[in-house]
Amino acid sequence: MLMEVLSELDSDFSLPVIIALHRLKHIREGLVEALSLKSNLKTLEPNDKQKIEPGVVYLAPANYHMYIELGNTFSLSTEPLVNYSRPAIDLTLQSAAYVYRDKLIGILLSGANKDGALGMKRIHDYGGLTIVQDPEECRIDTMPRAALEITNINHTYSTARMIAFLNMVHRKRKLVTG
Amino acid sequence: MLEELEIRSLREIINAVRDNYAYDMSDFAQASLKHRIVTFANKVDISDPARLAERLGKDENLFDGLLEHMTVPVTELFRDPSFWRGLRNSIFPRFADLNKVNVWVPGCASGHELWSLLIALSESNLLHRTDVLITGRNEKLLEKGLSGLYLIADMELAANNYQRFEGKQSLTDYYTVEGQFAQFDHNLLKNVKTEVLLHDQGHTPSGRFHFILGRNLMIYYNNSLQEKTQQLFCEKLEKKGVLAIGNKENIIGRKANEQLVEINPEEKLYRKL
Repeated sequence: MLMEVLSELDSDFSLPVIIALHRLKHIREGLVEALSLKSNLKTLEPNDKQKIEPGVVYLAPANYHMYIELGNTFSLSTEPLVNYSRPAIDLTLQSAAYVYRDKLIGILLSGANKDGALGMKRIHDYGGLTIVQDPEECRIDTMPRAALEITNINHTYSTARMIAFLNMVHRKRKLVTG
Repeated sequence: MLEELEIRSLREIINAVRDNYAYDMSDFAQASLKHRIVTFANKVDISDPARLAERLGKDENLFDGLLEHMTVPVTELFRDPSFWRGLRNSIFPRFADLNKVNVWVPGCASGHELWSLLIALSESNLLHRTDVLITGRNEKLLEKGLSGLYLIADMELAANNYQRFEGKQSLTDYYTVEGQFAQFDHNLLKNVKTEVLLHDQGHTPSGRFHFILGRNLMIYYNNSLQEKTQQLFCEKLEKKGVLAIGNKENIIGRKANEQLVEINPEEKLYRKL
């Protein structure tokens, strides 16, 4: 699903894409390489305090929480697991909601626990746009359903619809900003 | 329940703590600082930030609680096994000719880094001639690091890491089971010394070190405090001494960059010129 989205985004996609994914803690290598192969955009795991640039895909590194800081940089932490996870989706989403407010699109894909639900709520509370993958389409639908339960999520989209939507946002933005 | 901390409230809390206990969090990275204060507020059931600031200013026990909450970021024993392999295979041999190896583990916190290091040194026959200094903000925190007491539940992960490190023995050789806890062998602590000092205030121990183990400490600082701290570490290294930082950290200051050469880019090991 994630691979599909990354492979279908316009190659000049102009927004930063920030991904927090539940992954094995002790395997540092491989995932970002696999995503890079499919992605049309530069894809990397950020270092602590790395600047967030447009048109780049960022993947939370193994065994670190990944926050967004005011000033548009990442910061990493080894704090305790949240929702049994490090990286925890909630921490990334909540910090992004605080920094980007109504400029943020929060997307929650299929997954096996409730991590991300509170983060999506925070994005909604700060005026951001929220989208979940259609639970009917999900291999494991716990994550999108948990978000739908506690937040009035703006859109429930299939993968194809989500890709079309993101590219549309990008193209409209391009028209406006030149 | 407190969910979010606005900047103004965060400042109030930072000021209350700084004015009363000389503990300055103003150069800490903001997002993780906020997260830790919010989780602390909920733990002690004070959901109004203004009240939390006021109470922290007056109640030293509450401040001690905050400090403990702040300074024990959990890692794990032998976190990043490839780092420990790199340390054993390419750094320890550099110490072969030294009569005495001086090592500094700043901000010892949960003690995971210390105990992993002691085991690695012991397996390389370096422990008996290595002085390890651990430093932290107060005695209580240092004791926690020294205790070598971890949950049995965490030993499975630790044993997996140890196996990937390709340790010489079994991790169980280093601890005894006491109820729910694994008690690591205090014989390993023979050459460990402690010193109370405030890293964030720029305090450093006397003497110089052949190795400073500072992984994932400075990710909790903003750029300016990171740069300052890296510079201090750099000054405290012996010539050709080695600094380890976390695998997602960078040396950011010009001065430190001029003096430190990357010797293992994957594991972020640097040697001082």
